[in-house]
Amino acid sequence: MKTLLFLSIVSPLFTSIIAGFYGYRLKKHIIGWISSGGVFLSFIFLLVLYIKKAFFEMNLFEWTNIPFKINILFLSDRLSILMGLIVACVSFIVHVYSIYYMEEDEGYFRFFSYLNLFVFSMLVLVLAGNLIVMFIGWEGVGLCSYLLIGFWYYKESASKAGVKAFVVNRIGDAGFLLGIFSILFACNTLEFNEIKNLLNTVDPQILIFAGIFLFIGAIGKSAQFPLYIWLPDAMEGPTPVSALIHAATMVTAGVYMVLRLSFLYSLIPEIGYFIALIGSLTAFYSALCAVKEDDLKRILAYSTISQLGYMFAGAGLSFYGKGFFHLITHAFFKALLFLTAGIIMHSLNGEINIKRMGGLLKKLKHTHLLFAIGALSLSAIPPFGSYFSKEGIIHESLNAGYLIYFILVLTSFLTSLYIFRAYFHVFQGHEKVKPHKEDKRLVYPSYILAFFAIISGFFNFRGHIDSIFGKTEIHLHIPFILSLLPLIFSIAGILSAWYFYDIRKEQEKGFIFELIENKFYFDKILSVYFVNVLFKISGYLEKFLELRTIDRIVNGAGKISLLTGKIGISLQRGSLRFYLKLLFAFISLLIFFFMFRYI
Amino acid sequence: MNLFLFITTLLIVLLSYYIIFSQNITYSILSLLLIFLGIGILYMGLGSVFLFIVQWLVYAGGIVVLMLFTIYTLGLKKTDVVKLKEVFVAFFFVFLNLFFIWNIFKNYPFLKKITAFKMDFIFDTLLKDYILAFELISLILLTGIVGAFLIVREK
Amino acid sequence: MMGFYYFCGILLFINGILIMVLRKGFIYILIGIELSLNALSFLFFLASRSLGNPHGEIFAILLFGIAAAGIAIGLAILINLVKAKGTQDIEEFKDTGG
Repeated sequence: MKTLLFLSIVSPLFTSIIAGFYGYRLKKHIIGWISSGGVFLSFIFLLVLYIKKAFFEMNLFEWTNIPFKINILFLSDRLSILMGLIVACVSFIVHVYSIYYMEEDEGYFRFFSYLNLFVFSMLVLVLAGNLIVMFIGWEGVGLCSYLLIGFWYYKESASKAGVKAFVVNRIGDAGFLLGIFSILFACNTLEFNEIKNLLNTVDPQILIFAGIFLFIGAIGKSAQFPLYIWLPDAMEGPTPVSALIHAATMVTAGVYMVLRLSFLYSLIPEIGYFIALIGSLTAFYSALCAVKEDDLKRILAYSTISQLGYMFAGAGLSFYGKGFFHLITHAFFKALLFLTAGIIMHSLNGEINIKRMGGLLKKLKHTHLLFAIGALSLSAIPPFGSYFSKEGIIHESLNAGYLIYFILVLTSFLTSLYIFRAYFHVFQGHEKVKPHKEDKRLVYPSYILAFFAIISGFFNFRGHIDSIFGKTEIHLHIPFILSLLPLIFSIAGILSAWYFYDIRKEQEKGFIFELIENKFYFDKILSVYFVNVLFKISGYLEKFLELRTIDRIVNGAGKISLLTGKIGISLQRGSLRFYLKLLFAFISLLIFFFMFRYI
Repeated sequence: MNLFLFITTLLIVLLSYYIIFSQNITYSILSLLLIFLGIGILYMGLGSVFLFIVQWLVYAGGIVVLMLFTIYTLGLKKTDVVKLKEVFVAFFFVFLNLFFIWNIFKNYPFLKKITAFKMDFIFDTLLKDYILAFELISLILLTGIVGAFLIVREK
Repeated sequence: MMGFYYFCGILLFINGILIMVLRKGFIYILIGIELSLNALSFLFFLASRSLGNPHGEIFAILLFGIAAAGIAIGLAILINLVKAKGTQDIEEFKDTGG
């Protein structure tokens, strides 16, 4: 069993190495199938582990024990294996999809090498048994995300977006590291199982700090409120990357981390409420942004941020099972939406603005069906999987009062509004650009995802997922109208999207859109009352702080480095004897210092 | 016996000073030969016949001859003169270092009694505990030979 | 008596270094390296005798191999240097990037 776990982690790395080093010798499709095979193998292995209920800790080797013990430890339990299964499953489908999607690209083998490396890092993150190994995977997926956003590095916007994602993620990583340190400080160990047992004896004050810092890390990776800015730009990468990394798997790493440390967060409910508030506000705000966005992929990116907000709301209010359930269903339908967006772009020669599309219903029949399934899933309409997860989160949020509940309900209205706005723009109306025929080879993998998106509601059959986290949620007696409210709002969103979409003019009208277009006049208020005052203050600051102190310090630093450079040049004479003399002089110095140890 | 070893040691050190100041390359290499022979004698006097034989064969028989051979092939005769200023600075450092080293080792608990090991014990340890180092040495020697050949080879 | 041997071994080692530092001929650098290595193996041998374990003696044996390989490469380099400029003075070779 341990071998299986090890193999499931390593096989994507292996295929990544093959694709990276030998890829240029092989035919394109062969590399693609080899890479997909590596991911499929790890999926099979993980499936075997899950079915056989083989749950254990695997200590690969001891990395260091100074000043505290760090093992390369992998943990297999129901949470990690299930998450790994989702990752491997979606990755496999996206791999197969991109075999054909990327077939005309120059950097074909580079793409598959990065993608496999990403799957490897993600599996390390998911199956990690202590925080350090998790951090390794965390950084690994960040690196792969950077590499893949900037995959078309000759496009300036792409490489800039890559750098932006990397830098914003660094802020979150700093928080994550601080969180690791505070947990180390509190418990003197980093292994999840040991922390779990030790937590009751620890000062809750430190736990609050640890919780906040770790949540900052989660914010960075999962694109929540202050640090969400990198995700919309990350759509510069190839569409399969957006589907896999920036929708289904990597961005959910933050949620996964909160779930992994659920025993920590359940001890500090105040921080949990704060997390839920941040999550629900992010959900609301980014849904608003998505309503006015015209770029199809950016709509989906904002929608990802919004759905992640739902997950955080669920996880923060300590309904970890519901959060995880939504993570699973979201992975399927959001990857599906992105893949269909990829097919649409393919058949329109890379056109991505929904205002310039229209009437694709007749030509792209399969795509239309797939997109409709994805959109209905996103809007949480009953037969689809996400209905159960999203309604679950919204219902349970009633436990924490009405504020979060109403924000989430309102967001579900906006959600179906923006996604069906995109749907009507793309598929209804009359043709503006003549599409190619849709590529059948791209459609089949998407159908698998659509299948999963429909049936994923059954994953929580008899509370299967809820029981991972030990306790069952408290069920309030919810008034009938409140329990129906989210569904009503979702359907209202669809209907209003249909109403606002005028077939003749094909643009939105109405009060809401005007308000959103001006971003609730926030910018104007800000510029009048804050920015002018700020300019004055900053003018004074420039005079006194910038020119007189900081400039001198900066120039001084430059001069110091010039001086050291001159000293360094004088040392590089090219004379062997001079180097020998220096060497022996410093060795005598070393002996001199040794003397003080023994004297 | 002890007196003989004592005199040998003194001679070795004096010969090594001779190399520093000598003007003739041949003489300095010959004194190097004498130093190697002397160290071999010290090995035997302190109880290791094997090291004595290896020292005489490898150093005196191999390396010095190789050096002399190279010198005569290339016809090197002229040598440089040592600068007196550099010598003074160098010896100042040497005395400083000797002082430091003495300070470090003056309280070190060396055994007074000299123990000699049997041959088979040494080689048991060499071929059991140090087998990796032993193999690496053989690899380094091979690399040395091939590398030397590659460097000298006419293009 | 043991201290005297130690002292002379250290002196030999330092004299090897002095030869390397003070002389300009490349052959003298080789001589210095050989002398230092030999003194080092002698010191290892002495330590093995006075500490009562065989590890020092084994290191002496291993050092012989290293010294032999080193001198082979060193002499090959010497031949190439003399072929290139007709002299073995290392001050002439400042432009070789060393």
